[in-house]
Amino acid sequence: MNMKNAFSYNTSYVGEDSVIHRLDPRIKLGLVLGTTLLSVFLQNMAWLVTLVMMLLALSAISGTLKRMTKFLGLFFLFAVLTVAIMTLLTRNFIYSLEYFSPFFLRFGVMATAGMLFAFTTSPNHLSLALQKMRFPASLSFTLTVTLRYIPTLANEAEAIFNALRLRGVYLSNWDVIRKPSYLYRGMIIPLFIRILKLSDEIAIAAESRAFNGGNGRSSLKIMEIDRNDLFFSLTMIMFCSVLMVMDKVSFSLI
Amino acid sequence: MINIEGLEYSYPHTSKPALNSVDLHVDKGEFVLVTGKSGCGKSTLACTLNGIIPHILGGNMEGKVVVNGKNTENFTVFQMAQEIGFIFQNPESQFFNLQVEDEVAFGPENLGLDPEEIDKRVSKALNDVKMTFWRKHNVFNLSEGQKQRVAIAANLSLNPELLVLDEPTSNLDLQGAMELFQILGRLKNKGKTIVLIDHRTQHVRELVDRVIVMDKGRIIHEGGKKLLHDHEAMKKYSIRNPTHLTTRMKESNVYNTSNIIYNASEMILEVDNLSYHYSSGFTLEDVSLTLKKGEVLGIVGNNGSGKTTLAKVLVGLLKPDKGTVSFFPEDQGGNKISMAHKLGMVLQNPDHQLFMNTVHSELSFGLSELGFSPGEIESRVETIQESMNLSKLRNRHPHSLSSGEKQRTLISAFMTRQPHLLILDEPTTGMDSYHMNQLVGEIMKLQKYGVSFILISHDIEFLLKTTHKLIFMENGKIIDEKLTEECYNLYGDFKGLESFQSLVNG
Repeated sequence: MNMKNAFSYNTSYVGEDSVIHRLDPRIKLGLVLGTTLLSVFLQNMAWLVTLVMMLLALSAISGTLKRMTKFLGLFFLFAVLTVAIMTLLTRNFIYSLEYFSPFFLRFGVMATAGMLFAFTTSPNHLSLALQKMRFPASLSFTLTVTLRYIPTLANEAEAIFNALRLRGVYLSNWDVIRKPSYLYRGMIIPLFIRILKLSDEIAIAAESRAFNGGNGRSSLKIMEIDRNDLFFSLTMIMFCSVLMVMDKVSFSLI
Repeated sequence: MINIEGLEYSYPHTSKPALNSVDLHVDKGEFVLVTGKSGCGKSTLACTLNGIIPHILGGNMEGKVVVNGKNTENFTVFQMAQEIGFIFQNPESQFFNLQVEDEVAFGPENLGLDPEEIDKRVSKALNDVKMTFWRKHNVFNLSEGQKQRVAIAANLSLNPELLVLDEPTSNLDLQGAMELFQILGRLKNKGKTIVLIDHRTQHVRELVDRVIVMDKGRIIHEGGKKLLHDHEAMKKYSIRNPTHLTTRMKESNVYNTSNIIYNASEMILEVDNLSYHYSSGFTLEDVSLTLKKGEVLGIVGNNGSGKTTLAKVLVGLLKPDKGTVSFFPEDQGGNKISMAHKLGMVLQNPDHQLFMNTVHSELSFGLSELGFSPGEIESRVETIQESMNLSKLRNRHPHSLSSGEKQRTLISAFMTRQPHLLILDEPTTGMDSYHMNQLVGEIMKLQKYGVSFILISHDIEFLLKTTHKLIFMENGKIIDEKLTEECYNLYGDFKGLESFQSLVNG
């Protein structure tokens, strides 16, 4: 996978607008936690699938489904391979499917909800939400700066990788096994040097613009839970409650 | 506004002073240009103005630096932020937010101002740099010039009286640089004090009030803007001067590249209808060109015109969607190893390309992958080390070298493969006249051995001195192709230089 495509400045947040983008990050965090917890409680596969479908529908509404499929595709491939290997070992496909399905569906719920949050929330909004939740300013700033610089580091890694290829060194898996020093010398050392230089530059740039560890920071944008957030929360609570009830009913019938 | 007395400074773990007996006084509202050779101490001096030295970088500092009445020794960098705005060479790596307005609001937010006041400051700062329209845009989708303007606005929102710009035009094309200097002119008229650190002087002639030249950590010349019209003085102080170059060219033909001999008959590269599409939508379209043995080709165009993309396709880092790239003679089947044999590319940032502990081992890095025996590797490395004047540096760590030395090491690393073609991407970024001329000499030397070059650059002076042919790119297409000599004949005076630059920019 191309690192630049996987972690571009547009991967985490495109700056596009949708109902989901405009939601308060706290509501979206609630959605991630709520659906993750619900997935643990749900026993019936049909309701777990429904939960995944609901999250995918939200992704489609936000316009992030296409980007998500790159990651979900890999996850799906892993699931299929696992079931295939288990089938080969046990010679029982139905057993393998029943054994692994709850695990992969629950993981699918967490991954989809997590990506929905990451792809529709800007680092700045996340920082504001964390501040509102009384997170220490220095920690919330560090977290958001880290998120912001992931694409930069991916670009740096890509540039180093290209430089290696230009010198005739192609870091394929076989090369890494054959000569591990190429990975260490060729990739890790230059990347560390760049990370250290970048950290210095970031520290200097932040202090030069009056950053003092995040203490006493205010914000241009005021974050408040509005009617849309409440409506979305209520809809989700109702949806999840229905799933729980249906799950209980189907479980008691069995 | 600025008062520096008896300033001496040396970086941690070094005994050699980076600044030596510096005394400087700058009045409110002045526009001061600080220039000089690479490593002369210009950027170090700038770092003392807001307290980065000594508070962040450490080291041993003596003397006094007072900015707007505040002694930097007694105030931290963030306390000085309201007095002095600091604009760096590459704004992109120092943006903390994705949206323009969030980035400009970052400073006032750090001061804990209320949202209304922040909004007022953001609007004013964006208006000052003519970026109001882009307020809601993603900073990473802006042009390089616009990014630099956002960086200025992000500092202006803190209401500083003094702006310090450290080589702000290094990554800018002509259009971006012109826009930047228009903004600086406006800010000067509004009474801001501006300290500009730069090698390139052609755009600031009308703006500057005073020119300060530094060498070996000292101020060696201080005077009015007349210096920028004195060609002999500029030559003496290694100040870049492309206007002088074209004027001299007309008079004495001193830099005429026709004296670079190349074998016009032997073709080494043929590119036919090459196309490449990025997922972002940018397209390199139907590019065709040829290159002969020993020929030096310059590629010019605005940022984002497709120059680097073309180079990446040529060296095989990107796979073309359409078209062919043929290297002659076609001896090794065009597999990836033979490509590394035939050509090399020196990328913009040398830090990405240095992998070993010593210069000597750097030159041999990867050679065994190409099938050379240990004896052959040693003899090739020794020969190139000698011819590229790297023998004295053979045991130095590549990352401890100056940027010019790093670049020479990289070119040498590719030379050990005896390539047919070397591509240099923006090789003169941040280079003074002396080091640029050194690079010109190295290119001419290698060209005489039959190595062809493709040079991607905004640097007109450098291109005029080195290339046989120039191609002009815009929006992923070649829009014009000219022999460099034709450009001389057409544009041999100052007025002509501007026309040449506009041609460079399509």
